[in-house]
Amino acid sequence: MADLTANLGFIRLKNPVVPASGTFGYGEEFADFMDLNFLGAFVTKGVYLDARPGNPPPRIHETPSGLLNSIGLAGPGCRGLADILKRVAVSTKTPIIVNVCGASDEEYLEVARFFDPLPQVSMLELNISCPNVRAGGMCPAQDPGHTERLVSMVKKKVSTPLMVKLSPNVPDIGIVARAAESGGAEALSLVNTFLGMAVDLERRVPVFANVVAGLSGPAIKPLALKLVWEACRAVSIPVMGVGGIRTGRDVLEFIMAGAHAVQTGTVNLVEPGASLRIIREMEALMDRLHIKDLEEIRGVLH
Amino acid sequence: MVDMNAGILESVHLDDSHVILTLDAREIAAASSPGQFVMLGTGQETDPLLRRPLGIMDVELQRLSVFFQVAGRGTALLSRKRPGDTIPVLGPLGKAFPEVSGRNILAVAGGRGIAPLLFALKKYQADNRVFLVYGARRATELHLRDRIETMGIEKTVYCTESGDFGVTGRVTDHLAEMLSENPIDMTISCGPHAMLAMLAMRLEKSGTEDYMSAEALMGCGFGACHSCVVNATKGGYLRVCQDGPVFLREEVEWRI
Repeated sequence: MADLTANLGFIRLKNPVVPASGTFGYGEEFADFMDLNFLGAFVTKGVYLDARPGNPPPRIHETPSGLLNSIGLAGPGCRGLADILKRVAVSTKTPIIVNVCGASDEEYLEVARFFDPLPQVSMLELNISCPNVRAGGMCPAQDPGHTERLVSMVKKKVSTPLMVKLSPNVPDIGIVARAAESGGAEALSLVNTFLGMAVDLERRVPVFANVVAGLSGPAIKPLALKLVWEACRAVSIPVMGVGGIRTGRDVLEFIMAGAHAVQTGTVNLVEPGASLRIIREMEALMDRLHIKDLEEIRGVLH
Repeated sequence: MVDMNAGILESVHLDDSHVILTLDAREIAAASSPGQFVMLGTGQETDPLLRRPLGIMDVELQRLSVFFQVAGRGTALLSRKRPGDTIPVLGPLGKAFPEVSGRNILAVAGGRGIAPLLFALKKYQADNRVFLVYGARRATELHLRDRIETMGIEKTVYCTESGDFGVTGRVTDHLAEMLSENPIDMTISCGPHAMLAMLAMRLEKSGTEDYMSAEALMGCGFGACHSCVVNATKGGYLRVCQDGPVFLREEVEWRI
């Protein structure tokens, strides 16, 4: 049997499959479909300091093999999430990663510091790449200088391992990846959603109030794979590959591109038990291809 | 909640665009209550990507039926499924109509909103007095009348906007007389949003306890994606899939 361990250095995951922020609720929504203990880890839905209602509907639009979303990070705020984490951590030992958001650098820092001391939190994922909050889809991850400053400011104040989630909507992912690494990130996750839009032909307006929205799903996998490959060449910290993953084969492709682990996204919304299926598929495929562990194939495309 | 592959037992096409699909889904059928829904996978592989939410119209042992109108590519694909085909089914999902007895219940249905109410009426008729107002634009859109006729409904009023069947007008035009002539103390309703918005206004001073089933563009169906929101009366949003689809009238801003 293949060894599925994903060793990120500062943490060892029992396997590399990690449901992504915004596609896995707070874990408990999926408890009917799986034992969370079988996952490598999972990432909670993005959290700001205070509760947020999110964007007005419509919030999603289906595209061929893809999904545009403009949810707008609806959520219960730090205190609300802390209560949920206490509840969820009772039933699982799987590492929980909290996705940290902020409307300003100060808010990112405050949210990160709030979760830093909580025993239920194994890692923080700094979400500097959500396209659905500011006008025009702008985010800190589109500016390498801002990325480095922000990561560095947060890193100085927290001791929980810090992963930084990058945006694909940049001219050179390598530059932003290096900026996050220089700022002190212990890991990177990429990619967040691609900016896209949709049109309401009858009403002659954009489908989304914010005009642009984030594209996810199988449609973006080849794009994400290429960016993960590029980022892995640029940095020496571990990378979690994200984008359109829905099979065990997809996972191994991202590992070959250099990722230490992956995050499953939209597939969790379509098939709630998908992440466990993906782990099973990956294990069977590794056995078939005589791959004994992930290190054997990680980064072989470089 | 169960996610399973279910065989199609029966696909009945009532006309060009209205279909009753019956699935072999024992685990889901056994756990289903009126007002709840299922998410049905429609295609092969990844396109269409999302499943489609459909209210449960009936369950009988392992049989689970839904009724839908072909409105887009997903429902078109569902309409072409035949006995022997298998599709992914997730359910039962969402909040149900309450379990009650000894009540006088009026069901208000608009168009294909009749489907989940049929399941509710079937359950309610045993221990309650049940009444129905069912409207559509024209007679050809008043589906499932054969099923309605076999139920123990005390009084049924059909209405069409065209006037080619039953009384002329919308369901909300015939609400007042139904409420005044019968000792109604609870309503259940399902239909287009505009109908529910009008109905909510008309029911404000009726003194009835009103359970309304909302419809929304849905992503996952089980509370994870926060796509299917409606405006909450107390501010913010409610998720139709998890906080509903059955809401108390006063929980939701039913404005158009």
